[in-house]
Amino acid sequence: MLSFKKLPLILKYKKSGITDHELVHLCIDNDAVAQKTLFEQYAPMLLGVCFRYANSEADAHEILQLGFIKIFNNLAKFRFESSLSTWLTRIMINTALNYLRANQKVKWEADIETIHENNDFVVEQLHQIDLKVLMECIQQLPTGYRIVLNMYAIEGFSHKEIAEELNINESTSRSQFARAKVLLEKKLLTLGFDIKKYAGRTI
Amino acid sequence: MQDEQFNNILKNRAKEFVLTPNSSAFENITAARKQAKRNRLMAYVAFFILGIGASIFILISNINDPFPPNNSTITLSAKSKKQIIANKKKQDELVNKAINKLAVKTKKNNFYAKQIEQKKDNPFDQPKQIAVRQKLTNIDIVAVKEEINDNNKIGKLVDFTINETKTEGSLPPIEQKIVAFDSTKISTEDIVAKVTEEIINVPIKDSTIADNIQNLTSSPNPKKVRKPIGFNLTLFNNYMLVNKAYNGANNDLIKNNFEIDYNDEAKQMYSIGLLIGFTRKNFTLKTGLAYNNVLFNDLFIKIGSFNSSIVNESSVNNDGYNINIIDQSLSFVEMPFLAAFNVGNKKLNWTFETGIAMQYLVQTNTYSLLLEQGEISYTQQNEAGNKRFKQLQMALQASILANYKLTNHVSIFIGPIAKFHVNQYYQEGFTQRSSPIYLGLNSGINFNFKR
Repeated sequence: MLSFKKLPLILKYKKSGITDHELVHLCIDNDAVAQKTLFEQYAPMLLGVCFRYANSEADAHEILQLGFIKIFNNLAKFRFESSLSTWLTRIMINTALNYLRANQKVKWEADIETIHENNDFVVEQLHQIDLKVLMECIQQLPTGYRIVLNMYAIEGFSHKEIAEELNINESTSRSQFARAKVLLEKKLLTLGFDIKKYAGRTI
Repeated sequence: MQDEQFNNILKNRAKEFVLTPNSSAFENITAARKQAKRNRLMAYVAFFILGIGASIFILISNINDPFPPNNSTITLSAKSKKQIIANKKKQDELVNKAINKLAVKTKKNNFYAKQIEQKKDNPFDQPKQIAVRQKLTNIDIVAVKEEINDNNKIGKLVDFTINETKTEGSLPPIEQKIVAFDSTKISTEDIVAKVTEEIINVPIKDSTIADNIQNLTSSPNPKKVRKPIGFNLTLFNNYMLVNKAYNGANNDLIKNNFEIDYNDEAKQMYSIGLLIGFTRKNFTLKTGLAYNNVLFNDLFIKIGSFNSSIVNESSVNNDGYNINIIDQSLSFVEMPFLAAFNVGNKKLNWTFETGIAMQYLVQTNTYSLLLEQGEISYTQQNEAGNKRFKQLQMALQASILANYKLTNHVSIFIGPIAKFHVNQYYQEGFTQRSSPIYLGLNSGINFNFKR
């Protein structure tokens, strides 16, 4: 016979899984299990975001922790106007930018040499190269290039939005992206000669 | 390569990129949040204790006997003494005349526009500032009703079933989920009954399922809801009348030189302020800022010609006599340090509040009537600070408040308040003494926030 008095009030079995709405409300109520669930559900994806912005993997982990502190402290402000993952990603990006600003000066690099594009080869590289290697290539870019590349190419911000966020000119944002793209393509071309070495590597 | 193509490929690949966080990451996050919360609490408690300490320091430095010792004396010139005694009878008549005239003026109302009539030989200083003295109006308490949206409430009881499990070997790990319910609509006992009823009705094939459920009930992380720490903002308004003022006078002055009469009309205090509170369970610590205006409707009449600067700096310094009738208001900026205990969880509950308030005199408004040689003139002075009154004051206060919750975050309160001024209002050298106890009404509105 079950001892019903011992049954915790938070215990339930549900086939469809808890919704984001329920999860957020329970986290706001300082439910430890809900907070851990939120962390386990979104941390891998958000750590990937942090990795792309940070200078190193260690910095990425640091940014992740700072970001989640901010997330738990501000969860009550989330109004479900966007998806939870979008809101979390935005907070993590802001945390990453603040971290980079606080720990080093973000430099807007000067001109680099232009290269002759081998268009098809670069496209092939982008598709085939190991994902972590690709992200490491992005991580190795100078900070200014890296930030603009992430925000424009991956996150989908416009150059105007990036300029407002980073307090730079729109033209600076465009030029930083152009240079980031060239530099990344150069790295991919370099790696491409050793494609057999890098392809298929597991994360 | 075109930017668009480049961006799309990069975006699609980046979406797939995930990394495993450190095993201790979540614990680090939890620990960091707890530490930050502790730091905020310590800062608040430290500020509160500092305030109490500062108040005690003021208390120790400023407290004195409301009644001066009998053996204190003030030396006056011999000429002054003789004239006072000789003209005592005439002074009596003039005093009565002055009282009647002033009584009409001051009793009327607190609104009056001021006219200065100054004679050429008016001994009063030029008024430093002319102003219209206005009565403070009561603050209207605006009650805002917030409609509670049911969607915001965690009031769902989610359906569940227990999956069938193996009859042999260990059970697969059972995922722990959350049941959330609205405790205002359903009691703990009812929800347990509802949950267990559904468990019973599901055919259980293996008794180990039930055992596992029991094991989970004693899981290392049982649900223990900690009471949230709350912050609140209080806007309050007090109106008080003096219950008892230790009005007295320097007996030696009366005996040797002066005859001082006073009329014990009620003193009033208006107060309005904003407090920030820190709440844990039913206990709240509050501090903030308030504006106090104390009105002295007493009539202080000093008779006699004197050559001393101790009693009244604006006194006549001539061979005649004068009657100085003063109507006074004092404006303070106050910083209260209060502790409150809340009783009851229903819509109507009670708060017992006590504490101390430090006050700093910022302005005085003196309405003086001078009676000289049968002629009356009056002046009004508005000045920051005054040598007659002490700059720093301290008061003890206590109140019992009835709170009514309008919404989960907004409540209004009202109740009696008593305030006792530990110090004298007046400086040592002045004949007046006043250390009043005020009784009145405390009302206001609370905004509560939880973390």
